[in-house]
Amino acid sequence: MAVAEETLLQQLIRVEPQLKPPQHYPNMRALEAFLEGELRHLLEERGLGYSVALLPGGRYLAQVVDDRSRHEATGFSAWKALAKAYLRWRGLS
Amino acid sequence: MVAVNEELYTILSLMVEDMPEEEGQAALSRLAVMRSTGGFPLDPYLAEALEGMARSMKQKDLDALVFQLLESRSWERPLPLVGLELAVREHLGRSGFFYQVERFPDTPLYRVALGRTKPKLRLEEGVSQAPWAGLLALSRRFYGWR
Repeated sequence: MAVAEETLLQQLIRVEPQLKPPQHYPNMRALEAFLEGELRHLLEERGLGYSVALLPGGRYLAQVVDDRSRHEATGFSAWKALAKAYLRWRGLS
Repeated sequence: MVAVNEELYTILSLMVEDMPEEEGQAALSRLAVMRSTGGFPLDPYLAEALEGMARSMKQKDLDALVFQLLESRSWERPLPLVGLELAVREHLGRSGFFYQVERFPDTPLYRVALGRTKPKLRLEEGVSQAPWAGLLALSRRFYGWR
């Protein structure tokens, strides 16, 4: 689990270096707030549409949308789903 | 902003009175520190939301949410709205809701949807500039308060 998180986060930082957390966060939730906030800020600045949903089963579904395409991904937290959907939109996953 | 902080302090102090003594004392001293160091660094929407939540939530749920908000977040842009939204979403998720927050490109608007499967499937939707406030407004419909 920890390995998978690291991999997704490292991949995201490699693609978007500005998403590198500026400090070590004392808990996972603070890191989640940072990543979701920064990622959504980035999408909004680039004029992309997106959505984040908690499904009835407890999984998260995220979409990244532009004029021509819609990429989606699921995850166990909102930022992971959003990060995967964004990487798919970039054609990197 | 000062008025908001004082109002918030009053609400929180009242809530603390209902807590077990040891917990209440600890919470009170944290509140005192926060107030003496320049007040609560919170979004002004919070005071408005508190009033709505106070009418629609059980006291213990409200206590838990507010202390979670105060203790676990730092409120630096562009994070405050997402931080607050995460706290509200976590609370709604724990209360048995599912939801969606959707950004409309090139507008300042978000579509928010909130649903429940029990006792029967029900979905409410709205449009808001602040997703967390939109979600809270929708949740009030489920509790029968507008």
